[in-house]
Amino acid sequence: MTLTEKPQGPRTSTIPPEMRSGSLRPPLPWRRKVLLVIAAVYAVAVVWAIGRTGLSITALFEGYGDFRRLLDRMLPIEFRNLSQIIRLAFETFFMAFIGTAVAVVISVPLAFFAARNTTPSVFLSGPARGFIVAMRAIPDLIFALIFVRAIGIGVLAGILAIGLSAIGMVAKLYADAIEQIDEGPREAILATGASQVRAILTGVIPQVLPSFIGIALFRLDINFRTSTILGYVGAGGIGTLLQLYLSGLQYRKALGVVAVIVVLVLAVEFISAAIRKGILGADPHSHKRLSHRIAGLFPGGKGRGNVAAQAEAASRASFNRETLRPPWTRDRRRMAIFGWGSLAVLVYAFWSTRLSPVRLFTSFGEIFVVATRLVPRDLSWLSSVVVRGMVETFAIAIAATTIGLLISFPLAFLCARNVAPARWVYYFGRSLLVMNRALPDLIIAVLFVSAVGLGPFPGVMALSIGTVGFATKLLADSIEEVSQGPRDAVTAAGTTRLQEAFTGVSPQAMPAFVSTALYIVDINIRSSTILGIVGAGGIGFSLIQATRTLNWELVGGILILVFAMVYSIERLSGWVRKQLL
Amino acid sequence: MQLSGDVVRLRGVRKEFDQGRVVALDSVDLDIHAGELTVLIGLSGSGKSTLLRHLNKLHVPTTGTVEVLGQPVADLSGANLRALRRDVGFIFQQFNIVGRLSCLENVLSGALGRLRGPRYGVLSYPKSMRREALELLDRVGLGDRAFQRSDTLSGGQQQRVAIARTVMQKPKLVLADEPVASLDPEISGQVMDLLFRICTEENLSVICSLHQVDLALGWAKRLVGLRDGQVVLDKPAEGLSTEDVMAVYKRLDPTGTKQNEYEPAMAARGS
Amino acid sequence: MEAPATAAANNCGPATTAAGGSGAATTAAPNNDRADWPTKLVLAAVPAEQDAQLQESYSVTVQILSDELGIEFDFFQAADYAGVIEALIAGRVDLAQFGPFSYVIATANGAQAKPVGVMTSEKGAEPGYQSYLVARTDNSEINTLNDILGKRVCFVDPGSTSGYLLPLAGLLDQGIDPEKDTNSIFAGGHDASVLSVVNGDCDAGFAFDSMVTSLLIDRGEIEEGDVKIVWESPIIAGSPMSMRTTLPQSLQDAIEEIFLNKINVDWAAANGYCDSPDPIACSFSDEAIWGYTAKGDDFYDGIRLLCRELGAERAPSCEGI
Ligand SMILES: Nc1ncnc2c1ncn2[C@@H]1O[C@H](COP(=O)(O)OP(=O)(O)O)[C@@H](O)[C@H]1O
Ligand SMILES: [Mg+2]
Repeated sequence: MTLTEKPQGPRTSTIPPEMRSGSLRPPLPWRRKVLLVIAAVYAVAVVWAIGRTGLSITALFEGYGDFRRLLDRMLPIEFRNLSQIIRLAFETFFMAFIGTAVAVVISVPLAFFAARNTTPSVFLSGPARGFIVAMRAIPDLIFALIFVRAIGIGVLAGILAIGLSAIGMVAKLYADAIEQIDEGPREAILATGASQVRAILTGVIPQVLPSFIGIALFRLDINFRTSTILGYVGAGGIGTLLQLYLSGLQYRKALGVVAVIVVLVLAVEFISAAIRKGILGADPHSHKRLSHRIAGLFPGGKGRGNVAAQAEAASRASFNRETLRPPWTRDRRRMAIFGWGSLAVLVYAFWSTRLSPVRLFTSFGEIFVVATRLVPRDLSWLSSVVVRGMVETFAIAIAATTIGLLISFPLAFLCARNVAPARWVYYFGRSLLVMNRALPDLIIAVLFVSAVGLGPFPGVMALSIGTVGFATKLLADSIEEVSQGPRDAVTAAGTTRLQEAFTGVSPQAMPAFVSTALYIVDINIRSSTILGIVGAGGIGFSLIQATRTLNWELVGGILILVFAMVYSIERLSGWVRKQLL
Repeated sequence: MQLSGDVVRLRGVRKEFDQGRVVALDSVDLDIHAGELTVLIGLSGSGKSTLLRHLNKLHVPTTGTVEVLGQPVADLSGANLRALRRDVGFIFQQFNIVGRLSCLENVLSGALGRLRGPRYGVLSYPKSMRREALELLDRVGLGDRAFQRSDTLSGGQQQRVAIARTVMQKPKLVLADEPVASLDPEISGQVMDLLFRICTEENLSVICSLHQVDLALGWAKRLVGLRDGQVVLDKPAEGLSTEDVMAVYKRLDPTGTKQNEYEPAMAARGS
Repeated sequence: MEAPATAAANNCGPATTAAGGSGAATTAAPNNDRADWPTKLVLAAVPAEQDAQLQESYSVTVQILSDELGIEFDFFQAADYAGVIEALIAGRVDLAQFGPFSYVIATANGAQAKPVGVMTSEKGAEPGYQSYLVARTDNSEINTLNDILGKRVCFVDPGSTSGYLLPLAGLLDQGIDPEKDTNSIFAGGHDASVLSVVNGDCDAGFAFDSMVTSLLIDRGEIEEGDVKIVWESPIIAGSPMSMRTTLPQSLQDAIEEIFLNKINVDWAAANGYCDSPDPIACSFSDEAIWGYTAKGDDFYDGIRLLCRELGAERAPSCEGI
């Protein structure tokens, strides 16, 4: 009644004069320009990398016959000594479990030193961060090779390799989680006159605990898959058997082993998902942001968990008013079961791998000795072979990441629960991803070597196919986290599925996509090492051979170069990510 | 285009969630006439959103039939469903614009139903459409924000972008689900004013759920009240008093004492 | 070292040498029947025993081959043989430097290949090597193979010929089952096996001969006289340069002629490819060798027999041979 009668003055246009005519192109602020330049440089790098690695579609088609013939020799898969395989698979799981525990134990203090808001001093946070990146730069296979040489063949070398290389990711994500806490509680506790350490224990740990557990479980899954390859260099577990079969070219039996690994990977994934849901609560914010963090990372949710629900449960549960013990709420019970359960598995793992915790502890002394030997005294190790190898590794990683992501992007939309056109597509896609992640890169590489010959070309193919599983999973997880509202709005305008995916989903998931892409480059640089085993190019051959011949300075030198490459990509990606948020 | 007759016809619509544990709508019969401006009122959780979401098949009724623009919605799928959705604009309480896109691109996305194939980036839309979208942004007073990222706008501005997006769609019927519930009263008035003015100018049928009774009475031709999924009020707005309307928000207490549950209900259920 | 051409082969990337403009190209093809020769050949190499000293690699070999044949060469190295074997089976590798065991695996899996020559450390010497069992010199308890009963014994790894298969055969010959009668440990490498003996982790250990007699001493890891040799295995056939037999016959002949007569330190030094006729100056491969000597496929029957005797149960990598 009143609103309509308001006098409407002549409306003045809000369109700025320069936009009243012309074709309405988006403006280009300098940040966008820099991003465009980076994108252009990247495009040039891809073209260069494709040339450098000799990629050719026709060669792929020509090689199809040989690919098929080798595949025929690989199938059907064969199960021999199933009981031995299963025993070794469990040994591998226990290696992964102890390795994860080692990584967590080292990562927690390291993360508190590294995190800006909890570090005692900037002189500690710098080195702590450097150490974390260094651990991430060293390929796990090289860790294993070094430890096998330093402390002998067997599970201990494998566990240490898993544990130390996991620090690079676990400690970084822990530090990120610490930096994202709500500072309020800690300040409140400090205000009562408590010490810094107490304030951290009471004000920080409860906030980050759900993230810490979620990250550890995620890493356990990765570690389990990694540990299956470590046997290749004698680091124990099911990989030993895998290597034995592969070295006899007995692919059918090797794939039998892989099938068992697939089942176990699925089981581990299922159990850790259940645990995450069970103890971290159904609240999406406590764990859903994990995939963002994994990919390097987004200011995530604050991991508050289902605080309200817990409070409600606690107030309802009866408790003994004499002793004032906290009541056994469902959450507390689950937490206790999880805690004691993990400890029990850990003890059993030590017992079943016949590993004494003391030996684990003393081995760090031996590692230290090797580490000092790795430091190059001069530049005599830096030969043209090394430089060429590094350049080739870079080219392989760039080309492989690009191809891998081109495959992963469309796949990710099919494997995201909220976007998949049908339930069966989602389940089918996700199980393919698990199989892909369990399939050793070596087998994929051998297939491509057979199809197109030795050199970086098969290396690129093997790496891009090999990372599809992991990349697609990360991408699909981030698609599952986009908010539904804008998607509904776009759908309500009468769009097709494809239009909706482009306009409703992609922009929301874009920062996570970019993070994932850069993270995959990082992974590919490291995993290209493995290609040296089958003659598929890169620095890997030199690195492996230098380790085998105990040429520690060369090993150290190459690792420094890998570190430099990974570190500069990480810095660049950090900046790009910030611009895209 | 002016349609004669009913744009929406609901018959015996019942909607259950969680295998029947929640009944969100219960035997709803409702006809909405073309060109009418209908306001839905009711407590939080009374089924307003659920009702609106049936009208473009974001929900499917458990039983009963829904006809929109003369078409039985349940039978529609694929291209036919998209064609219907294009004719039905939807404005959300949470604005639901794509935050990382510019305002212009958000408005442009309203035209997707008129286009073939996926689009990414302002430049992927035809030039004439870009112009059209900018004019619409100007009509909602945001012509100078075309290339600003939409998540940097205030809530009221975001909802204005969403209104522009809906008009971009060239709909015949506009559904608005508590479009101003997330905004403060001052801004709410402005946004409702804008929405209703544009819809009147474009001669669109509107169904809007609202909490602000004064706004509802000011603009609506017809008021429909929902309580626990049932229609409890359906009258022309003219001549209705504020008390008549507030009765919808009251609930019979088992003890017999009447109590205004509007505030506590909002707080406990959220939305 | 001074190779006549600078386009040296490298470890990883394809190293393409300039196709020869030299007149030597024609001399290498006696019947001038080059019409069916490919324009490019691929040479691949796998380190024979894992712990061989990594040397200047195959630059001289590749150079001589491409000069003599007038064909470009791509050269690749792999740390393990699976990839090279598959590439050979698919016809994407033409020449492959294998260890003896990997050659046997390749042929057992359908690679159409034969040895063109076998690496030999001295002119005229029988190409092959041995496995040794060593113990500390000051350990008076271990003097024969039988003395290792109940002791800690280091093997290399289950896939190693001289570090496991041959020792296993030797022990079984003596009626010793290492699984039951000894406390056996896999050390992970030939050097690790010897070093474990020296530092006392194992009472005795197996390793290939030159690891004991020269490599570790040259590297300064052990002193001469630290260990004694308790047992010597029969000779194992040496590492063959394998050639794809699906290449044109005239090309096969030409390649064979080059390996047997020209890829040796004497010829290379005389023709300006090396400074002096000695295995260190003339780098033909990742091992210090004199050159190649002629052997046929049957030279490797010994390993095949060994594998059949041991059986896939004891030696899983032997299956299918
Ligand atoms: N997707 C759903 N799943 C389960 N219950 C739902 C769902 N959507 C709505 N409901 C329930 O249906 C009832 C009506 O909800 P809604 O239509 O959102 O109410 P309003 O919009 O009037 O606040 C509520 O009890 C709500 O909890
Ligand atoms: Mg609602």
